[in-house]
Amino acid sequence: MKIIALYSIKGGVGKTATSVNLAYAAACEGKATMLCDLDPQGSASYYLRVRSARKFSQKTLLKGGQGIDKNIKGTDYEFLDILPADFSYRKLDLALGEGADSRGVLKEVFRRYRDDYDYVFLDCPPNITLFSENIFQAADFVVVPCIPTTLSSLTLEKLLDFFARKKLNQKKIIPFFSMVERRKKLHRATIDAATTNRKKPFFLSSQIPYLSEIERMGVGRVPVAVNQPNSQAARAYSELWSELRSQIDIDVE
Amino acid sequence: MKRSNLRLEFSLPASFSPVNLSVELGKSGHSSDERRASVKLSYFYDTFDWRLFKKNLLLVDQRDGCYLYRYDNGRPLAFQASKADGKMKFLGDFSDGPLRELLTPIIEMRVLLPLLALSTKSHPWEARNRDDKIVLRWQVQELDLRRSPTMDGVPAALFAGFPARGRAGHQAPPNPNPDPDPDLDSMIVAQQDELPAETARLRLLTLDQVTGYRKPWREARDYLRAQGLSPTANVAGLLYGWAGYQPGSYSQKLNISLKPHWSAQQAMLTILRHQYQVMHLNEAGIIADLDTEFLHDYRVALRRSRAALTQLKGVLSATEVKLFRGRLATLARMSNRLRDLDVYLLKKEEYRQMLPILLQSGLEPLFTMLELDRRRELRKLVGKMKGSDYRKIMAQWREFISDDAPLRAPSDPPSIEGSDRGVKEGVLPKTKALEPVMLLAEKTIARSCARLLKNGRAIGPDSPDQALHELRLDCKKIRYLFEFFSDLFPSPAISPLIAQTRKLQENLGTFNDLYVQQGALRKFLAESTGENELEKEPEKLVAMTAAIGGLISLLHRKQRQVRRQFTKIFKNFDACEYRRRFCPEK
Repeated sequence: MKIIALYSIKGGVGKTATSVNLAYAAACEGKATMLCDLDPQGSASYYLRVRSARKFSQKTLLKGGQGIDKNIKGTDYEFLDILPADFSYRKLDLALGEGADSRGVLKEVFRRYRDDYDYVFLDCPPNITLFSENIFQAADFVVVPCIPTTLSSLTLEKLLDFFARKKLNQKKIIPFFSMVERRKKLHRATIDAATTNRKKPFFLSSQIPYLSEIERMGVGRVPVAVNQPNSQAARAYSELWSELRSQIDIDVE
Repeated sequence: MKRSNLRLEFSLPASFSPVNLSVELGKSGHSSDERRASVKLSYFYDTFDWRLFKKNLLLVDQRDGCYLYRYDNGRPLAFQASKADGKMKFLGDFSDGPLRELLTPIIEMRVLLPLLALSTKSHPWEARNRDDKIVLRWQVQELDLRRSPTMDGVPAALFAGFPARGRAGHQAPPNPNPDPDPDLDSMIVAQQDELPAETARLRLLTLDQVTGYRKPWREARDYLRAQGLSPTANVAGLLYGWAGYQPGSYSQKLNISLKPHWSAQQAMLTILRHQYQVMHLNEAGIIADLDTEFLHDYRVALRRSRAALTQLKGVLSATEVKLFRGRLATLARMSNRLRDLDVYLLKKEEYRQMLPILLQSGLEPLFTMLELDRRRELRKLVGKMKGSDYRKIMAQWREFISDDAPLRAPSDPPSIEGSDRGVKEGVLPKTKALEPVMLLAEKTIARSCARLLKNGRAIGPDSPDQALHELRLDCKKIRYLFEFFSDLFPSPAISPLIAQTRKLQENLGTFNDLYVQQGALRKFLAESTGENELEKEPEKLVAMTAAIGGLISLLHRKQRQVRRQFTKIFKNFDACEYRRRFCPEK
């Protein structure tokens, strides 16, 4: 089982759309996949038409076990399950803070599922907190969508700093360009700079363009490849997934 | 999917309409849609001895490829893309991969037969909630089942060989108390009877839970139960049953469970009838040459029958026993050579692996020759088995073992046709027929055990190989007795002894096999060097001689090893404390 966190300090970078579409791409290959909606806004759950259970709270997540089992829901797609968001995640940081050494708690929670799923995607809330640290511990890879702008590059720097400070493994970080508009000079320049720059981490060469069909996912509430498997967006996500998968170098049986 | 969802399967009566289920779910606010129906053709495969079914496995060949399922939970274990052709398959017909890996240790050299052809029309349904999210799936499947006796290359007679039962209504409830004395006629008639209808139609409803949506699942399940439907635990078994098979029924093993209170005669006849049945069931497979194990099982049953006649003395009429011992020996001789050739050919890969690569190609002429030989031997055997002499022997043998007469009328023995044997004709000798089988079992086991001990203890490091060959025969005898009678004794008392005996027999068997193989190779070498064809190709002859020479010395070395192990294995047998319970020494 590989745990892939979709993470960005900055909001509105296409993080949720990416996690939904990547998880769907993985499931389409017949791999048992779980998408964990950790973002209190619950957009991933919404995209997949799933509501969270009323009784679910961060306590049950941290306890792991039965509590979370009952909350896993099958999506409309074969091989894709989802752990829906819950608004009480907002309080998660506080709950984690109560434990003395709470880093690695989330890792323990997911260990239970290592025989059940090939991939677990985590759609993470945008901020850096104790909860994020837990996520970075648990995840095998932290995939970071970046809009090719100066501000976005800065937030990536910030994340690297945070990893360094907390002695986390920076190799987990895999950035890629999201919401790319080729007609914008700034976008082209930022991407060019990143590709000529030999500094790690290297960006994935696949990019997700800025497309209205991705935005419209909120209306149709299905992954882009479901109704239009040959659309530009669907192809972009499928390419992103193949590249990511080969990087992850997974030997998932 | 690794996480398996809950699934229930119901067999549907004709009156049930799936629309009713959608109406029921509608009451709790779920809207149901019927999706596009699809039709697919598939074949169920298994070996003649149900090796997959007995391991809860089901091999299904359909349009996109071959699937191996666990049929108790519907979980797919392996898949291989291929085109469904409904033809027989050997391991070699599968390409390398997980499917072949899983099948290899189970089916080994056996052929997979297409037992069932299914045409399935599926009508999938989805129930959605107010968010238009799927919360329950179900499908109604209309299945047309056909036993596949008309498949290319599979003789209809073979399917007659599968014990079939009538298909009365739904499922005939299994008889919880099987007849303790199975009547031979009914056993045989059941196979030779008209097969049940070639095709059958069946409707199944499969209910699939969507993870995390328990309420609609419960509603649907409870509704179906209220309609009087109950879920089927074993769909594969149900389908095979509907097509008239008794899955898992054939076994070459003796599973007849004798009872201690039976008379010796009843027990002996039961053993012999079972052996007759095994022989009879395998005939079609031998004649069609489907795989080597039909002959193997046939010969094991034949050997057991002969062992019973030889060792269980004084139970059946002595004159007839003598007559049939001779006849069964004739039957066994008919296939001795063929079985030897089968064994060599099955060892082809093993032999190759034993030799360095340099020498391996030298074995080719040997195996070509063996294959030619085998074809000839098979033709001979098939000719004989189809002949009237063979049929007559089998019919008379069957008649003999069907006869319970001495049990009913000890003073009125069956007359032997055309018999002119001795003065005792018409008067039964002192008979053990009515003695309890327990007595017979204990006596015969003790006797053969004593002989085995005496001869075994006499073997020292300098004894000739011949002594071990003879001991092998003694050991085999006691093995057969255990096979016949182990049910009569409490398992904790007899199992350790059976295990020791098996080890001893394996050791002696391997020793013998290695000896015989060396002899056969030497003989082959001696015969083929004078052949004109190979004379013309001296290089080929040299390569072959080298390969066979190498093989003989390797086999010889192995034989020495096995011989060294003998002493220890025999000591273990001798010292086995349970041995004394069965063979008290005077």
